[in-house]
Amino acid sequence: MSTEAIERRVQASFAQTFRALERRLIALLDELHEQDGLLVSDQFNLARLDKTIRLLRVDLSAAGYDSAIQDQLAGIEEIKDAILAESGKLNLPEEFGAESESMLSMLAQGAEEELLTVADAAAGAVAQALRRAAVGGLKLTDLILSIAATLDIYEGQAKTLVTTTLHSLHSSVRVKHFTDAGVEWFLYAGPDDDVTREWCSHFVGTRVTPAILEEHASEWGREGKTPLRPVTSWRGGWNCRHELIPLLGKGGYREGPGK
Amino acid sequence: MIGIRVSMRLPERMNLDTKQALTLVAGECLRRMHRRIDEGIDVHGVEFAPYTESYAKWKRDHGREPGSAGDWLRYTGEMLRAHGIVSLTKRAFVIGFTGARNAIVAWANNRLRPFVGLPPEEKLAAIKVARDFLLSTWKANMQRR
Repeated sequence: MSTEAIERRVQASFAQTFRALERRLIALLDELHEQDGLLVSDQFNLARLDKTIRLLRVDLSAAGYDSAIQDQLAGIEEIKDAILAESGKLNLPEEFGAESESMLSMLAQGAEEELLTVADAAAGAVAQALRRAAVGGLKLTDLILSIAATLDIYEGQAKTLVTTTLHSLHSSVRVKHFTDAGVEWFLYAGPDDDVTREWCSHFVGTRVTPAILEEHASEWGREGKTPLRPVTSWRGGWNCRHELIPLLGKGGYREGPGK
Repeated sequence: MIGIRVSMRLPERMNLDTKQALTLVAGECLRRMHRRIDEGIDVHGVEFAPYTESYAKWKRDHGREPGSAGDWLRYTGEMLRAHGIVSLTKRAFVIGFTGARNAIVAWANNRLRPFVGLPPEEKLAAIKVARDFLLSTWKANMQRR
């Protein structure tokens, strides 16, 4: 199966998960008391909301979020084979197999942690919407629309995580390919605008080595609970718009980081 | 397929690592292509057609700086991240785009602002890289004998 086909399958799996979760929440909300379309803030409703919020994480899992993550991890395993086949086309050395295994496990671990964070954030956002509705007199139909919109955002994030994971792996393959051929320096290329991460803005337009990037992996906003490694895969983080261009010698660029 | 193919043939008896030479040449081609894109210059040495006003506004509204260094042909950056060596043998390499979607986006962009390819001076520079590398390797081999 091609990497695109695997990506499509995993994304479909997330879409299905979020639709199932939405249906389940709507069914739960249907049981609430309402008057003229407004939620009634009585003891029954508040108790019901509390229970719904507590069950949210369980619901997320029951709706298939966990299996979507498993699907993503299985997808990465399949992609490994696809990429190794491609690396054959690129004449990468055999020992690359072992290295890519370890890169893959780091990518998979990072992806799983990030996906769980998305699940957490989705549950938190929905819980917040429910609480606000209970005290703010939000109409039930508006509440459902707001929850659907919230879930759409998190579904989008989960899909982005999948795409980024795949492209990160390609990125590592490319850097490895050039370093094996003797390339030492890379140009950190890409835009430097209002949406550029602070970390990237320290490197844009400068020459760097993979070692320099690793040395600064936890600085300038990149320090998280789990800084994404290797940096050649992730660069500034999820959905980074920058890339590493091989340089022969120093290419006339100043050494990064520098601002 | 959208991309460039570069081939090289040397006598086997010279016993040179042409794959390594071709990788370096590919790297140099990539660097030159990206530098040209960043400067907003197409493969014919002409400035890229400017963005339409509405697209430029849309980019600005999303925090980008249309037409600035590093902005040309990038929004998510996915297309240019997918740009690299897609095939390499002892005799030839191909620079293209990984993923069908990226190749289609590149094809469409290339119709509006031709960026895939090498102008004559870049071809000469690429040949020089290969020649320099192979000559230095060959000399080193001769000295070891």
